[in-house]
Amino acid sequence: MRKICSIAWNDYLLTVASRTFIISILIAPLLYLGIAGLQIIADRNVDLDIKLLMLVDRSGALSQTLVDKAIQRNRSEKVIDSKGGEVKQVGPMFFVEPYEGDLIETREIERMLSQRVIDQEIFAFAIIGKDILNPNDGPDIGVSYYSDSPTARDLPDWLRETVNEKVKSIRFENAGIHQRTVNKLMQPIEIETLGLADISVDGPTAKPKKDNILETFLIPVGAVFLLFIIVNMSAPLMLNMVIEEKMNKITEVLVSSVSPFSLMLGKLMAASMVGLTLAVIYMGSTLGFLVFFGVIDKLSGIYVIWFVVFLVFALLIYGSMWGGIGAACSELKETQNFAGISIMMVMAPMALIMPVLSSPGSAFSIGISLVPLFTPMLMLLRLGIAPGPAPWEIGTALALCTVFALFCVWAGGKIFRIGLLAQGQKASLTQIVKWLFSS
Amino acid sequence: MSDYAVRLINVAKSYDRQNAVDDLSLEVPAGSIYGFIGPNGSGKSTTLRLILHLIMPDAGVVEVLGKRETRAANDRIGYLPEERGLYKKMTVRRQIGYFARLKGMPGPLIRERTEYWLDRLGLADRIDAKTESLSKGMTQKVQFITAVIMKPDLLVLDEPFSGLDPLNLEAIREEILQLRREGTTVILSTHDMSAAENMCDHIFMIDRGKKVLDGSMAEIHGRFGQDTIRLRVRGETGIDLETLPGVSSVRDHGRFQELRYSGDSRIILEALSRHADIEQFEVTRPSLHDIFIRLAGQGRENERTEAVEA
Repeated sequence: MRKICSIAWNDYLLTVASRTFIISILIAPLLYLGIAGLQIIADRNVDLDIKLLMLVDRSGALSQTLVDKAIQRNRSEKVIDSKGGEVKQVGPMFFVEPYEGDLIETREIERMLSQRVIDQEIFAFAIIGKDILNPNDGPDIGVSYYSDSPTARDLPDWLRETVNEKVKSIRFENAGIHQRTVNKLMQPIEIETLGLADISVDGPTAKPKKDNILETFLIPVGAVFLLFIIVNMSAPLMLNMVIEEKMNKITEVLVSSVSPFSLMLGKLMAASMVGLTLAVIYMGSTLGFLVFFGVIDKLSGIYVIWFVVFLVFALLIYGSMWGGIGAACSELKETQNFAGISIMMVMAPMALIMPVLSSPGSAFSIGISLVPLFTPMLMLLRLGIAPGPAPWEIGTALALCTVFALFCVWAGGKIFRIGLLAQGQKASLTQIVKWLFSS
Repeated sequence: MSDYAVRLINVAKSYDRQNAVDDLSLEVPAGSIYGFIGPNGSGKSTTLRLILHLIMPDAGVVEVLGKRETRAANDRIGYLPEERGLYKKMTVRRQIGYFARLKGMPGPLIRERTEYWLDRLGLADRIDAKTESLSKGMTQKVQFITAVIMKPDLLVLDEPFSGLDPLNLEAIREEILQLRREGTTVILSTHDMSAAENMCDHIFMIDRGKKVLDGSMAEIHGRFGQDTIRLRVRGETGIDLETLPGVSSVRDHGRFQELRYSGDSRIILEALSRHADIEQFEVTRPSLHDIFIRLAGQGRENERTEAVEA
């Protein structure tokens, strides 16, 4: 055990004392947040074009409204951000130009205006049916939108919304119902989402608490993302440490002093210690943030303990996999194929966050969170959402996870024992499976 | 304590149905320097790995320092592999300390021995230097220290002199001899035949996984006898040396030739004196280098014959 601890301490110091590690502590969360931020920024700022819509209004009642509404929209917050006194365009501008040519046959108009779209004179065109206000008068009641950019949804969406709003308003007016009455009748009802009443006390209780987005969404999802970041930063260290020692020819000296299994355990301990160090740093910052904003009461101490428990499981499972890959390969480039599989395994539970979040108590969510490879992330997510999983689910998940983690460590150790000294040989997946079942 | 530090009894090991070591037996006397020689790919490294318990034999018994159990004696064995490797970013002190701890040494003793060895090999001022800043010779010395710091009962050295300049080579050679004097058994695997001949009490040669030579230097010289003439002539010889009576082969070393012969050397001298101005004519024993070439050459010849017959 003393030797295993020596290996763990040595590898831990080698990792955390490096400049790369210190930089990555700062960069990793920024990188992940940056990707999310980039999405928002891109959504708002990428398309700042002027989109000209040529409108063929066979009803003759909507053109002017759409022209005006487009101008109104361009002045609105959707397009112009004037916060802080600075006016800044943050979205595409729409302009509507009524078609003023002869109202010839539809196919002819389509041909003519399509050519103008191709020539980039207009962005798109739309034809409004002549019977749109009175559907009972004839069949020509629809609106057709034509463009060569089918993925650009903002303009057709705006058109649909605006046309519907205006048409409904005209239809109500024609039916003798005043717009004010309509607005009054159509006023939406707000639904207040609350937790359950406290039934543990007799007599009248306080009003149940309102759902809080921090408690019900940000903390559980944030915890899973934090676990994902830490696993991604720590578990692959196993591969780096093993490959580096193999490439620097240190492995043979090490295994002449300790057994390959002890060596792997030492390295796994080191990777786990690195993971826990990251957890302390990131969780410390998060707690500081929650204290600063006076919402620390939204995070329960038990949830923090679950986070650490599932982090250790994830590090053991994924760390053993990465260690096994490192032992089976001689050079970094050889690890690419196997590393891809491992990355997919870590990514898979992330792809399941939304379905589990929207229905945490469904049979699917229960089943998938009991799959040991997914348990650390998905059970942690479910634990953060009230009412949380049943005790039997938690017990089963912990038992399955323990067995699977032990299996991973055992399998990793087996691959380690044979792979470590297989210098210069390229291991195939079949060969690795053979090593697993060799005596 | 056993008379032998290492015993291999009918050991076999194969990789992908290819015999790396075939029914091999050897005994390394305790307290000796045991030379381990053989051509590349002969099974030398496999045998060393078997002794170190890095790999398990398919058959036979490997007994090291009286223990047959795997890894039981690991803390008493020092190992310097042929392919050197140290952590580049680690300081010399931490590096030596880490490997010593893996051999089970206590902290205070590690500090004391680290200072002793660094001082002894002239590296005391580099104790806090990172390995990447050291010269190749210094790095090899540090690696040598990691192998000997725990004062091993058995020291396995794979090509310890490769890449060393004469000064460093002499320093390491002297330390190996000193360790032997203090009771350490040394297995010295090398391609440097003159080092093996000068330092080793016993020589073991392996070729194609089989033992082809095993014994003390005296026994080996006794087996091969005096069948070599070292010849130096002034100018050119007026005769093809291989046509001289009794001469079976000639090796040209540039400044002199070595003739392998059987029969009476005086007849050769007489025949030669009629055709060349002789500067040196010395009847001597074959060097270990010659013996190696003969045995390895014979091995290749047998291999070719077997291939033709097949």
